[in-house]
Amino acid sequence: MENNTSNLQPVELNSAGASQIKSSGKWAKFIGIVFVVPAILITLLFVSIITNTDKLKKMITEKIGMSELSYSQIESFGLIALAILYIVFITVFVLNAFFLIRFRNGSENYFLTGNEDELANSFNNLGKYFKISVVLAILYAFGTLIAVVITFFTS
Amino acid sequence: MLKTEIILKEETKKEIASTIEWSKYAAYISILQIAIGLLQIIVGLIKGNASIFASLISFLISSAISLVMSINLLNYSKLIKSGINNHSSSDLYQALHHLKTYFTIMGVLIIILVLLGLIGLIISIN
Repeated sequence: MENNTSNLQPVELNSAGASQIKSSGKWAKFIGIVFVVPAILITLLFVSIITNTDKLKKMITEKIGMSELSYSQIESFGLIALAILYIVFITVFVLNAFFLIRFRNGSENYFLTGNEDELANSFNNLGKYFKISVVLAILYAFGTLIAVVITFFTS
Repeated sequence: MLKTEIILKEETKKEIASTIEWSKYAAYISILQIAIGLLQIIVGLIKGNASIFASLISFLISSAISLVMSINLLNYSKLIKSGINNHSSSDLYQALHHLKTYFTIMGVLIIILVLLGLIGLIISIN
C-alpha cells in the first residue's frame, strides 16, 4: 500500500475544507443510521426462517415438489450456509454503520474541541469504512456474476 | 475551539492518506459492478427475458448514479493524494468537496429509496 506522507512539509486545511468535512460527516451519520435498518430486517428474516423450518419444509416439499429425503439431505447444509451468509452480511452492515458514525463523531469532536487527533481518528474510521465497502461490493459483484452464469446455462 | 485554518500534523496526514487506496478500489469495484450489470442485461436479451425493458431502464438509472459516485470517489482519491504530496490546500478542499458529493448522493438516494418503499407499502395496503 502506498504511503504518501514521507515529506514533512505543511499541508493546510482551510475553513472551506473543514466545512466539507462537516457536511460529509452529517451525511455519513445519516447513512450509518439507515444501514442499521437492513441489518435489523436481515436479522428478522433469519430468525423467521430458523423458527419456521417446518413450514419451510412443507413449502419446499409440497409446492416445489422436492422429496422429503432430498430435503432432509440438504436441510442442515442449507441452514449452515444461511447462517454463514447471515453472519457475513450482518457484520458488513453493522461495521459499515459503526465506522460511518465514528467518522462523523470524530470530525464533530474535532470541530468542538479543536483536537486534531480526533480528526486523524475520524479519517482512520473513514478508511475502514472504505475497506468494508470494498468487501461488500466484491460480495455483491460475485453474487451477481454467479446469478448471471446460472441464468445463462440453465434457463 | 476550532481554528479556521490549521497546518495538518503528520499523523493526520497519514490517516487521510490511508483512505486514498481503498476509496480508489471502491470506485473501481463500482465500475466493475456496472460491467456485470451490463452482462446481466445481455444475458437477459439472449434468453428473451420478458421484463428486459424494465431491467434496461433500471440498469441505466443505477449505472448513471454508480458512475457519478465512482467518479467522485476517484477524484477524491486523486486530489487528496495530490493535496498531501503537493501541499496544496486547494486540492485538499476539492478532494473533500468530492467526498461530500459522494456522501450527499448516497444520502439522497437512500431518502428516495425509503420514500419509494413507503409509497409501495401504502399502495399495497390500500
